[in-house]
Amino acid sequence: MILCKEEILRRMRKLKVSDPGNLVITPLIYGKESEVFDADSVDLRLGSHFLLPKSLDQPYFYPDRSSSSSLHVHVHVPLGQFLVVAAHQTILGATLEFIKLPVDVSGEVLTKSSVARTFIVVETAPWIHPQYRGCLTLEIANVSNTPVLLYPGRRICQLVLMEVSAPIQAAMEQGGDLTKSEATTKLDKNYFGPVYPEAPKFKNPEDDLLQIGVTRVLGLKRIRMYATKDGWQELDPDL
Amino acid sequence: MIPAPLIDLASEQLQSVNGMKNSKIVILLASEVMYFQRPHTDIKDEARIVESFIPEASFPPKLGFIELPYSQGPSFFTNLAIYHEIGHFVYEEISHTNSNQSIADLQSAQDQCLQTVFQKRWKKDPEALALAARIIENWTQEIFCDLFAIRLVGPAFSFALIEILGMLGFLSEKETVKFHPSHPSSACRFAEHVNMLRDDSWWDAIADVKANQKRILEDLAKLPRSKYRLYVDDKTTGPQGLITAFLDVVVPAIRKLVKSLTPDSHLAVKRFSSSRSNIQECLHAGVVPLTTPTSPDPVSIINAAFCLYLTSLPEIINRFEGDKARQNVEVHSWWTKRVEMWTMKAVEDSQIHRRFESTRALYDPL
Repeated sequence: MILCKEEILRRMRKLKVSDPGNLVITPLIYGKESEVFDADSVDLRLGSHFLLPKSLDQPYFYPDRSSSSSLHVHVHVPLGQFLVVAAHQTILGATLEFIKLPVDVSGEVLTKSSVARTFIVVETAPWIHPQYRGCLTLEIANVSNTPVLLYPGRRICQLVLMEVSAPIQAAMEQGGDLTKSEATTKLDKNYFGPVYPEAPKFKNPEDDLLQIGVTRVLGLKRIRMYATKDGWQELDPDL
Repeated sequence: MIPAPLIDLASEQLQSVNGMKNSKIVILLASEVMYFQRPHTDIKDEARIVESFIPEASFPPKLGFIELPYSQGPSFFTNLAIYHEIGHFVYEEISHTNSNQSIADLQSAQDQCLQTVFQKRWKKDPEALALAARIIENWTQEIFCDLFAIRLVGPAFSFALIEILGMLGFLSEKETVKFHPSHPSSACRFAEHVNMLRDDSWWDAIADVKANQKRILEDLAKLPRSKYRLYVDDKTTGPQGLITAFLDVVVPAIRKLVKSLTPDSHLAVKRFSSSRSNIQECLHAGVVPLTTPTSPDPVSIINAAFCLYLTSLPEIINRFEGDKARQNVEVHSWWTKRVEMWTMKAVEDSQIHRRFESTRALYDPL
């Protein structure tokens, strides 16, 4: 069941932050509720921090443990300034709002229709699990043929919240408090409580595949050659 | 990366300092180990040169340049040290332009201090007098900047300074009583911190904080003056009378000057006391402290978060990761960063709310 505006507000205002049913969306900035609330959704704004893709020093992207720090450049665009997203460029942004979902609520982030009509696409992985907390990282793509200006602080997407039935509610009833109920679900520390857009975090492919029994994994290794009197030789990449 | 919300806040607070309206600060990430304020008289000279060949370019008349160690860029709590550096900027600015009576009183207190130490000997040894005058000026600035920072951001500044000096290994008993020509001793500085915090009622508001950093602050503040020693260089000690005269004559004038320039802190303490538990409850639950247009204010957020970080970080780790993780240094560092990020976000949110509220009434008809 999709949560209506009244239920969203009840969970935000009536329940204490330590209550497992409490919903956090902060800061919610509006003059009138109708500016950000629809009957069944809440508008979220674009935050000030972005991860812009770097030009790689190799002709491919290799999703391994080191890729989270090598893929992007962090940029801060203060409110009132803008970021130009070139045609066909993709960037990572984040919502201005920090959210914490209750133990029995899932969410989905959708591009606002007015934004979508400028051919800016927000979110290709829109699902948010119960108990998630943090500013939502937004994968933003300009799929149009012209550059588009993004202004931090503008409404860019909408959050739809859905109640999760029996299993989690049962855990909630058993647990009673946040600590115990959280202990029943895994804590994904990789994406716990971010306030900036977060780069993807991968394990090395061989470690991931070993979990399903794959013991031989092809890799693409960069090699450096050096000249010797006997011809070209491969240099140990660790040197 | 730089702590943008903190810099925004500090710039805004700077506007409330008497004589500093329309001043601006620029933060530079530098490869130095310590925070530093570039004397802006040098910068003004360079700005004048630039203006001479780019006619349309004009630098703001009050522009401060503060260097921040790049290694500290992403952190929040230790970066509260920028308030001290802003103090240097303010001191330099008001010394040249302000006609504040307290400045005149401070300058005559410095003269009186030198007269007390040198009496009639100054004619015989003008070099020693000049050196002593420079030393007194350096100490004056350092104490001024510390007290200035405390007035703007409360006890969080003292805790940040303890953390920084601790990291640099300057908190050993031997080091803390040493006065150097450039700096008064840490013990003396912290004694003045505690005096100011008491005057402003911050000390009572944090009476229940049982943190190691606060204990260090208390212990250093309690050290008797007789333990203070002036070292002109690594081995040579200087005249003890200079310290005594500085503490008796100059320091009261510094306190008076700081109070005349900065807003009264009692209201800030009240706001902190009323919002502290809500802020800490949010952080404890792993959530950015909730902000509304009316509360909490950034100074309350910073102080409540710092107190929580100093006293309850292990509890938060235990809550989310279990008891064993508390001992793990990597885990501790990860959670420290998270608490700092949430604090920084709340400071940013609070300012967004405040700006929105202040302009809303003005622009609503549009």
